[in-house]
Formats: sequence, structure tokens, C-alpha cells
Amino acid sequence: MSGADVFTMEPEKVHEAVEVLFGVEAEADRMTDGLRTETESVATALANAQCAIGDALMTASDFWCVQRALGFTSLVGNLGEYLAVCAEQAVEIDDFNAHDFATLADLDRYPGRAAENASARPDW
Amino acid sequence: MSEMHWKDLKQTDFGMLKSLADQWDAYINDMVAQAEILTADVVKKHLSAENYESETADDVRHQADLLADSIQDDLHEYAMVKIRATLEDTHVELVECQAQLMDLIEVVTGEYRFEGSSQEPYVVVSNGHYERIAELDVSAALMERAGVKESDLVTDFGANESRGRLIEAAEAVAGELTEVLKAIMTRAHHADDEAAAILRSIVDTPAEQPPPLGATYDDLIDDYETANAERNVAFLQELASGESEATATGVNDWWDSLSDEEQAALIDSNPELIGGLDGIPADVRSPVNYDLLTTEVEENGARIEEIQAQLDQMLADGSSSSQAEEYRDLQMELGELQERQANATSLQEALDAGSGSGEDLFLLDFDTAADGQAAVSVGNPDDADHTAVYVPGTTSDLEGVSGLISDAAILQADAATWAPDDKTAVVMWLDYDAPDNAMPIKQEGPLYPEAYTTEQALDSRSGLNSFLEGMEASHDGESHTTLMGHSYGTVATGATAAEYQIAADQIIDFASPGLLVDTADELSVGGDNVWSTRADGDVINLAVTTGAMGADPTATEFGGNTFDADAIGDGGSAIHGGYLSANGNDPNTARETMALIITGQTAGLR
Repeated sequence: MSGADVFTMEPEKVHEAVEVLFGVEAEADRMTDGLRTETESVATALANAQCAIGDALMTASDFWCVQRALGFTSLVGNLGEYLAVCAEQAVEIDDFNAHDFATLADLDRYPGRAAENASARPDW
Repeated sequence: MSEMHWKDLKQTDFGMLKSLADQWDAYINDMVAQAEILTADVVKKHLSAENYESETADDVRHQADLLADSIQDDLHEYAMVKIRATLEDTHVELVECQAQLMDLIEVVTGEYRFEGSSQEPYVVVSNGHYERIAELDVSAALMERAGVKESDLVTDFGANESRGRLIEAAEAVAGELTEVLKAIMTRAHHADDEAAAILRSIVDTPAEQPPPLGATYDDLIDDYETANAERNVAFLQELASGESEATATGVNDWWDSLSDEEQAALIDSNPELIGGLDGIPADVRSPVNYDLLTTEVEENGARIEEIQAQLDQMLADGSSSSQAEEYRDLQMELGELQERQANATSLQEALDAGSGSGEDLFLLDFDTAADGQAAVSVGNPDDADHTAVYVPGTTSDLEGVSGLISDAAILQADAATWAPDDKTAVVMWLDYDAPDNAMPIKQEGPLYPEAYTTEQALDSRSGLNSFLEGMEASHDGESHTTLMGHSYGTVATGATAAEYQIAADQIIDFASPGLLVDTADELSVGGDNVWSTRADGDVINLAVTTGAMGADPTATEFGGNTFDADAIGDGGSAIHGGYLSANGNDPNTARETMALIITGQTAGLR
């Protein structure tokens, strides 16, 4: 672990990490959306065939796609935004929320991101 | 509860379940790749300590690792084990039910029809069939069933009386068909309900996800890590209990998804669950099992001494009579412990003696109860070019484990001799209750020899199949595996390969009484990959002639490959046990051939 008084940073490398994180977030969301659509289609067909697995599959798919996968990508996005502020401020960041990202990060580098997410954030 | 009607079972394309399972599979792989980007590109590359060093940087790297770990844990526990596996298993079940239903429909078409609700389906005689019966235009089968002869139809009285009997017979057939239909629908409903229950269970106890970075992160992260460790233990317990839907491949995927620290924590907290779990790598299982064995020997020894002293004291002070029940219980506990201790020390001594060839021994599983069971590999099966799993036969137990490991070492050394550039591992798999005897034993009366029954071979199937699957899953890259057996061990191998699509490329049987099948093609490796031999004069020939264990695997009609074996030893029993022995100054033909087969050099043998 780094000592309390150590702080070195290559801001450009941190920005690159942020881009990777936002890329993972977007790609995972895209894949999950596609899977959810396919699963719903099958679940509906099975429910129409009076199969108990139909509704249960819908439940499981919702759990996975909304709670777990979306939870994961939200955290990846949060990490990216946190890092984006770190890269811009170049100091240790203790407190952090979405407002910090929208006001402190280099939004030119992540076009549209603050506006995209702001309305969904309770801490905005 | 499943309300699937027989019409639904007939009309639904359950291929969509398989197709969706494949999509989940692809999704899981793609998501794992995204998780790996977090560790490879973010943590190790862009955010390496060289580029970013501070307490915040440590938190960020830690968080990225946690996110990668947690999504992979989730993918295995939820997406793979609960959702994908359920889709695939349900597809198999419902497709089979559908095929049975279609067969039934083909049988009844024109003569009977299906009626009733989804829960109470039944079959009735069709109007057309009643009309044909009235016209006495019926099948020979129904005539025979009704006991009606052509001569009965000559007179009006006979014809009328026959119509009544034919209707009765047709309605009896409808009743029987109803039972078949109900059985099919019950199976389908059961598969449907079971799948629904598993899928619904996914929301029961959702695991925590890591907290977001921010002001409360430091407070929350410890709670998350504690909860995550508990989740891993709970999942391990579920896997080891056999209640999980996970296969050995799923176990291996899950294990690989854990960080080194998580794996170490599980080994530390639950070694007894790790040691015997198929899918865990050999170099993890072996030291865990050896430590468990050592502990068992020490604890058993201490407890034996303690009980012995207690019994001596009770005998001396006369309480063995006044507290007879306690005395008897202690004697029984002592007897069981002594049996376990004999097995444990026998196994420990055999392992400590080594393979004799310099190859490391790997203790992949063991159980010292009763006759004792163990799986010991000569060489590491996970990085071997070729692996053979050798199943010994009647009278095999832990008391004689040293000799069994020596047999595996002989097979391994032969393979090394005939394929010196390749690595070969041979596993002695005695993780089943081998028969104790092949000859009738007279005590108070004649005992039926265990080796004459198929029960123990059938009982071995699930465990042997899981072991093979686990070995394939934990192997580094492609594996080349031979399942082989001697004597009753071949019955176990045949039973397993007939029941499951085993994770092995070929089967060798030597001194076999039969493989519980009539042809080699009934074994899941395919007839071209079955190799059999039996020496002249082997006492097992007596069992072969009974056909009790299936067809003679060395017979041409069986359809497999055969190879020669020298008769080594004096008398039928000695020859039966002599296949791996030295053949005087001559080469041992069977051993040479088996080494070539195990190492994939079969081109010149067919």
C-alpha cells in the first residue's frame, strides 16, 4: 500500500483508464440489453405455453439484467467518474458524488456523459 | 405450478431453450472478457503504480479488482449455474418428454384421442374406432387382446358378443394409454416446476455488491468483503452438498473466478469440502487431502488411546458390567476407529513411499470409512499430455492401496517409456465400493459373492463420471484421457460410459467379465475407441460365459478393438491378477499395447 504522503500521477494514463471503464460499462450494458430482449421473448413464449418456467425465467432475467448486471455497470461507471475527477484535480479525493463529476471532470473528454446520467442520480 | 397441457407439450418448440442457453453461454464469456479488461487494462496497465500512486490509487485499483471478481462470481453463481444450466437441463428433459408424447400420438392416431385438463389428461377410444369395431373392422392386435377369433364372427350372436369384447379391450387399452400419457405429462410438469423453482430461487438471497467509491467507501468495504467471504463459503457448501446444479466444469469455472486470497480463505476454512470436490485442480486438492489425512491419523490415534484407557479402567473397576451399555458403545467406537486408522495409515504409508519412479503422487480424494476409498494420481493429471484413469476391481480396498498405486505407477512408467517426450499421468480411482469377494464364502451359509452383482458398478457411475469431467475441466488446455479398468473395475467403467457422455477419449478393459453392454457402440466413447484383452486361462472366463455382466468385450460381435495379453502366473486366479506383472524375460505384450493406447499411438494397433 502507498504511504499517506505519497502522491504521483500520470493524468493522461488515468484518463485512459477512465475511457476503458466507460467502454466496459457501455459494452456490458449493450450485451445485457440484448440478452434481456431475447430472454423475454423466450419467457413469453413459454408462459403462453402454460409452462411455469416462463414467468420464472422472466423473474430471473429481470434479477440478473437489472439488479446484478446493471449494478455492476453502475459501479464501473462510478469508478470511471471518480477517476475522471481524480485525473482533473490531481489530489486525493475522499468525498465524491455525481455532481462532482459533472462540475469537476473534463467533460469535453467524455461528451454527453454528465447530462446522460444526471437525471437518474439521486445525489445530483 | 406447471399448467402445461399435452397440446402445449406437443406444439412448443423447446429448441428455444437450448438456443437461449447458448446465448447465455456466449454472454457469460463476453462478460468475463469485460471483467478481465478491468484487471488487465485498468489495474495492471493504465493504473499501474508507475502511473498512479497514492492512497486513492490503492482504493481505485482495489475497487476495480473487486468489481471484476464480483461480476465473475455473479456470472458463475447466477448466470451459469442457475440460469444457463437450468435452461439446458430443462431443454433436455422437455425434448425427451415431447419425443415420448409424439411416439404415443403416433401409436394412438385414428383409434384413440386425448382429452382432459393439464393435470388430469386421459385417453379415450375415438368415435371412428368405435364405428370400426361396430363394423368388426379392427386390427389383429385388438382381436387377440379381446380373445376374438375370426370363427367367432361367423354368426350374428358371435359377432355381437365379439363387439362387446372388442369395445372392452379397446377401452382397456385406452386406460393403459392414459397411464402412459400421465407419466409423460408428470415428468414434463416435474421438469418445468423444478426449473421454475431454481430460477425463482435466484432472488432469494442476493449477494452484496461492492459499495461505490465515495465518502462512506472505507466504512462499507470491510462489510462487503466479509459478506463476500461468507458468500463464497455458502456457495462451496452448496457445491459440496450435491444440491447445486453445478457440474464439475461449473465448479472449475467458479474456482478459477476466485482471487488467490479467496481461494486460500476457502482452503483454510473448509478443507474437507475442497479436497473431494471434482473440478478443483489436482495441485490444490492433493496437499489439502494430505493434510486432512495426517490430521485424521493423529486425531484417530489420540482417540483410540483415550478409549482404550477408558475401557481398561472400566474393566478394572468393574463398571464394564454396571455400565454395560456405555462399555459396549465404547467398544464399537473403538472398532470403527481402528478400522479407519488402519485404512488411513495404509494410505499415508503408501503416499509417503512415493511412486518409485520419481513421479509425484497426488491424493485427489479419500475416505477411510468401511473398506476405504481413494483416488491417487501418479503424476499431475492437470498438465499431462495423456491421462489414464485406472479403476481396479474386486477386493480392492485401502488396506491394499499400496499395491494399487504400484499398478498405476507401472502403467505410468510404461507410458513414459513408450512416449518419452510426453507427460503421462495415471490415476488409481478407487472412489467406489469395490466388491469384497468373487467366490462364494461359507460362513453360516453360502454367501452370494458381491462380484456377481452389478449394484456396486452402477453405484460408481455418478462419481466416476463427475471425476472425469472434473479432470477435463481442470486440465490445462486439451486433454487426452483413457478410462481403463481391470476385472470388476471394467464393469464400473462400462456402466459409466453407457450411462454418461464421459469426458474420456477411449476405454481399455483388461480381464473383463463384461461392460454391462452388448456392443462397444453402446459406450459413449464409440466402439472404435474401446480396447479389450483377456489372457488365456484367466479365471474370469467363467464369469464371461454367464453373460451376467454383458457381452464378451473380446468377441468379434462386440465390435471393439482387441489386443493380446500373455497368461502370466500359474492358474486362473494368478493369471487374472498377473496382467501388470513382469513376464519373465519376455516383454509383457498387454502392458506395451496399453502404453501405446494411453499415449495415443494406436495407428498400428487396429
